[in-house]
Amino acid sequence: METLPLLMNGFSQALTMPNLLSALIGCFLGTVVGVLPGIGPSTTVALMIPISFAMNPATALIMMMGVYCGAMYGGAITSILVNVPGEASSVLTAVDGYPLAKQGRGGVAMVLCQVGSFIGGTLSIVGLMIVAMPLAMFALQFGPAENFSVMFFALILAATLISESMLRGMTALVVGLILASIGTDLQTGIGRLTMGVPELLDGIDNVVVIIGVFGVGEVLWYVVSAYGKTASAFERIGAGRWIPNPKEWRYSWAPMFRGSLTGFLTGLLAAGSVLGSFLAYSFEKRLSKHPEQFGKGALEGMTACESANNASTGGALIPLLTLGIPHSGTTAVLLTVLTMYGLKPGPQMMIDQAPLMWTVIASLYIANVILIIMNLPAVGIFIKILDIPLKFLMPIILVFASVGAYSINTSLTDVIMVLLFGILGFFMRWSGFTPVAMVLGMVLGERLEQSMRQALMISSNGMLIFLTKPISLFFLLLTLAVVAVDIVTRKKGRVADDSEG
Amino acid sequence: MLRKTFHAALIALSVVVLVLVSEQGRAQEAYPTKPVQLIPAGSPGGGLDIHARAIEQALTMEKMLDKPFTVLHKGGGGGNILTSYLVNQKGNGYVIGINSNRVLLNELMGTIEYGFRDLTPIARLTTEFNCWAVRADSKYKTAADVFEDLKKDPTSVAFGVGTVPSNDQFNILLPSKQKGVDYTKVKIVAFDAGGDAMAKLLGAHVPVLSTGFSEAVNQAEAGKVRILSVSAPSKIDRVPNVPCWKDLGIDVAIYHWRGIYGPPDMPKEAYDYWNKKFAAMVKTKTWKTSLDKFELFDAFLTGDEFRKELAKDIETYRELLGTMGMLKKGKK
Repeated sequence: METLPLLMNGFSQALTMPNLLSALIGCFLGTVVGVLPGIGPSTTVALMIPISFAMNPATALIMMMGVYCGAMYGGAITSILVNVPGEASSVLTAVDGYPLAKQGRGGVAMVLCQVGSFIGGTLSIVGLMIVAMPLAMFALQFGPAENFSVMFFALILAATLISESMLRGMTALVVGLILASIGTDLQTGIGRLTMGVPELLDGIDNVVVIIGVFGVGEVLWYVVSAYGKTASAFERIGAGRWIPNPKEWRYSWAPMFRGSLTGFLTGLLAAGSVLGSFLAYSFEKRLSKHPEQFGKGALEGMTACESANNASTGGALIPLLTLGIPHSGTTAVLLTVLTMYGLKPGPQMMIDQAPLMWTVIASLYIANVILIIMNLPAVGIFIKILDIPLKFLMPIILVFASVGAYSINTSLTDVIMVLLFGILGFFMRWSGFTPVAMVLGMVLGERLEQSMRQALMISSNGMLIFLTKPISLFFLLLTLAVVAVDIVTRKKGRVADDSEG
Repeated sequence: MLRKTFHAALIALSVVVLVLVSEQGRAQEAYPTKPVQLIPAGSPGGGLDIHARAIEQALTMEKMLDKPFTVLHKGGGGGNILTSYLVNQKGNGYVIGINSNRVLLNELMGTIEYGFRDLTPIARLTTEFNCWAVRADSKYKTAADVFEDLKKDPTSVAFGVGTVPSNDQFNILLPSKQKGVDYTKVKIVAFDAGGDAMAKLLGAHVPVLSTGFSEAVNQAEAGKVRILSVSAPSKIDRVPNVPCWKDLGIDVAIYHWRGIYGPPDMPKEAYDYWNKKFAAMVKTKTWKTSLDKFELFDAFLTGDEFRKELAKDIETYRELLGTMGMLKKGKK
């Protein structure tokens, strides 16, 4: 096809001075936004709309793409350094990244995450270029029944993996599902479990729960565990080295590529970046020879997760660019921007607006290159945070978490909720429940419920719709297989334990 | 030396006089004397935010803005956060908000204790229209085909919509009711926002979509979907072959409008100012260009007309939601 000349033309447009500059600004802004919890890429892109009136469409879109990619890169930094994931899709980066930091390998973790992000981001654009159209058609096959089965698969896969105790994992998951049901029910428009608080009509923002359970929870844990100990007054985590050694590279390469593929494919679906990061992490834990180290500082899960959430950007852009249909979040705002420039976003966009669209695609490559060049040296600066004594660092995290919560909706209710979830996170940790399963339930719960009800409403033969749709059936069988394998291996493991004891 | 002191004193004196004069002038200066908060009841990038930006742009470009706006987002709570905020700003002339008919729907559904009568309607600005869309290869060629199936079995056609309660939904219920279909039984499935619903139509997961015209028209022009009807009172220029409900003998027109509301007991000077300002704004070229881009239509009403229209609309909604069993208990 004529892809190559179009892409070359795109590069020549994107590499002009003003466009390169705007990519640079976009990448920088995006990284900052990614580092700050709360305000996300979609809000940032939307806030740029008035400014973009003064620019030509290409320049404005390039800057916005920079923000979109940059935010995904930045998310890893706070996850690793202070256990505050800015978004649901980097929760699992924190799960292993923060323990790594505590072991003095924070720099290594950050470098690997940046490289993983680069690989994920770049590969997904290659994918976007080569197989956009067939994949877009494939994505359309996912109706409510298919969506339900995929989410169900992801949920079961992750829940059985993350927790050491099945019962505790499931309990945390169900709490997450209940939290997800708070807010206005999509099918009836009626508020559920809102307790008369108008802010709850839109449900609890995932980020509020995440900042609370992880960030604030960690602070409370520190306060309680440090109480009465005088020796630890100037205790610090310590920056340590930040160049990964050959062994660390060897562990990380394969997960980066596998994570990229998972992220790219799930990016096609709504809630893709979260789904992708959880699936990629679960796959790695399953493939690993030392799954018991996951959650305690294993590199594989973390790098797979970061590659996956960056790769989801390319996947998510496919329905927008080929069909003119946005999922949600950032792509929906991009649609608005395209409309504002009078571009009539739709299935014809790639043809009618070919030069512009290819400039945008070229700019995605450039953004990824800029980000890796910009962020690798920045690791050396960010890592200094770990040299701050914990007794000063912890209050800073608390401030950081509160400001992040406030910035989501400029609402104090969110700040209060972050603190409440911090307390919940503390008690969960104290009693051995895993917050990750709860966050997973919370993040996927609403879509899981809604797609199930949508499917049942559409279905003319009740629950059978989940079995008669081939894609749906496939994922349900896969779920069954996973559970069966788990039961068998668990029994074996127990026998082994008994013989040892 | 003395001369210098004298000069300095003179300068100081004149500054004081100037300040006093200008303060006096400001006291007599007409509304507005400071920036006005313009608050869309949605997050950045959404439909209401677009309205805020378009208003800001039109007034700025046409040099009609006396004091700048501060655009503040109060999304969330299905629009209730804005309503509560406005009620709390009682008597403040420096706050105006943008919202849709959700103000009425939320009042009826009982998700908030305040209604449109607790606010000051200032102007209705724009409207979108809704439409029925099917896949290009659908067996339904006209809306009449759909009604035929619905009459035989009201549960035989599943409609996709963006959200519930909404004009997408009313655009199914009202025409069905007129056609004698048992509309309380019609299957209406809500998907996340418009984009998701369109994907479900294109993937043939639902046979018919009731959605915003702007979401369907680009797909229709690309030959992916067919628009069966529009909810406008007459045909829409961009799709001259698509009938409106009246063309099909159904006395229904649905306006998905957006309007400006002020806080309760807004000062009269502020109310009059914005009434005049918006009346002038909707005639400008910048404003009209913005409307075209987003497939929005002019639906300007002054504050008084807007208030009367709201009183009429709420009765229609009350009846519909009542028969659907969606009214708050005790609000018959």
